Amino acid sequence: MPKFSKARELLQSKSISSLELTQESLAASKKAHAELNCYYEICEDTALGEARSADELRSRGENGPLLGVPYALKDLILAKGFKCTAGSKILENFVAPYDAHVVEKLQRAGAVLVGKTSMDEFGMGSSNENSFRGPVRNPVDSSCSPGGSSGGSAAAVASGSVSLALGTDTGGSIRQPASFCGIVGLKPTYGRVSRYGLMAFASSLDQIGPMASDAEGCAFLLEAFAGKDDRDATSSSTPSLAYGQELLRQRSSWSWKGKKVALPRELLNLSYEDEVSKEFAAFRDYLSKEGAQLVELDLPHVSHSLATYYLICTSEASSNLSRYDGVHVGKRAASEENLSLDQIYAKSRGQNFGLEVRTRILLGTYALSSGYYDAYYRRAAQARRMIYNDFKKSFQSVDFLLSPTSPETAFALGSKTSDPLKMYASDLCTLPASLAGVPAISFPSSLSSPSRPVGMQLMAPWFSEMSLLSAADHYSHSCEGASDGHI
Amino acid sequence: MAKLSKLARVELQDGDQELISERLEKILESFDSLQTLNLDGVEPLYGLNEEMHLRDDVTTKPLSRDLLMENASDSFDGAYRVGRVVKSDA
Repeated sequence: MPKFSKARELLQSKSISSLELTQESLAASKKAHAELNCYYEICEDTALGEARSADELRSRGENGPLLGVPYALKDLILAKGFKCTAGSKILENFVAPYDAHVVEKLQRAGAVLVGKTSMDEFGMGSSNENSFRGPVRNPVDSSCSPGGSSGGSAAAVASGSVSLALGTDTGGSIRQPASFCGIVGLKPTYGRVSRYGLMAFASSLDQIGPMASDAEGCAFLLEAFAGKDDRDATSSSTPSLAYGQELLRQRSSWSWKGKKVALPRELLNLSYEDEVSKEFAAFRDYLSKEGAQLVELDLPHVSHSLATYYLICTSEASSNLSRYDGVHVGKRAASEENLSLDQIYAKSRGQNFGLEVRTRILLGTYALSSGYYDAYYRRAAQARRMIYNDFKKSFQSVDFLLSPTSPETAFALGSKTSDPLKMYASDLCTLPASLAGVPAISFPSSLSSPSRPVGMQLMAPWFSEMSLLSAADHYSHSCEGASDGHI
Repeated sequence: MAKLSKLARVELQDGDQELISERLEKILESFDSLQTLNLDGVEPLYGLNEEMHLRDDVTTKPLSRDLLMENASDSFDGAYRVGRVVKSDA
């Protein structure tokens, strides 16, 4: 499967039809699923229908950048008529009654939905090992995790079955798998993309975002689905941009010259895998050579990100997941006896939520409970304010913040499942941007020829997705050995 | 754990209770550093959304009840069916 930029070129020049491209994508998706377990459902019939419609529209003169382009959708986002499981047994039979806002927008743009991708249950995980259908494997090394929770989407793109996918990011769930699989993933500013039709995990942190073979793919996806939606009261009225078109326009003139890039000391001081350290150093050299100004600065409260994040997200999750009760929605516990209502709730949830989900619900319940609310949840929200202020202050003087996306590269499946804190540590670099709500992008960097993918993370001020996309695009075009357009 | 399990309406099997309890203890211990921060007078940040916008007060078409109820595990005549919740006189 060609990278997005190549696919767009081929389609718009009519060198290939959407039907041909979609058939290629479907075949590749089935193969990817057999090897990597990255899909829950491949939407063959509807995909072929959508591809034919796209070709028909193209023959009548329409030629949008996403028209006829296949994409994959994380199974936390509703697509009407298809199952939407959130990676959980409790929703194994749930059928989406309506389309998410982002799906409506992609349909209007003529994109072709190829499949629903696997994920960590309800977005809770960093390895895609918490899926009710078993772990997803990394296309680069099948004994390794693709990252999580959008591991299925990352693997689908990295394996070449699609060039575009949607993921969701609450604490790093787009960026970290993008890093582990060697693709581009963007977490937009909080409120940039409507959450209507996204099953909520932590409502003040969740964002849907693009994942693609290249920054151009992310830009055109974001262009298609960003913007205000009255059905999501947290969606922003800040105007969204034609990110893809603007990226192409800026491509030849965009430069690092004069751009100020800060390295937060609290992230510099983390313990990194050798290959990550080496690549990070090489990337800093590259930036200097390109004329960027590198500085170090302090984000003093960022060292409390882990505690702040896990207290807030689990508290919000304990509330959001209370709707899955075996009565209104969700699988009901099987029982011989007549269960009381409370027993239906308790048994349905106890039997059908996975271990990590049950743990986080209980942690959140505890943090919100009487006598503990002030010491945990409220305190974490105060710490969040301090982290937010740190970011606000830093962006008064710099254009970007830089760190590796994760302290490590893709780890072996099963190597962290028995120690939740070890697993959570994979997100240390991504959590701060989520808490502050700023946009952040991960793109693969290979200047030091690492043996497995390493992602660099850039963060920018609120609603500066354009800078992030241009920076990532510029890097991929300015590096020697840029690929021939295929994944 | 029993109290938490009841509050959360999540029934735990015996093996799980111990495992989850251990995990929670370990996690909460690692969060101790948060208790040392000086946060006096700091306004909590609960959400990042801008000022709430109210939509116009016009009737819009709701999603169909029947369509939404297709995902119910047990429904009858437009209602979700569960065991008796009201004490009977008999």
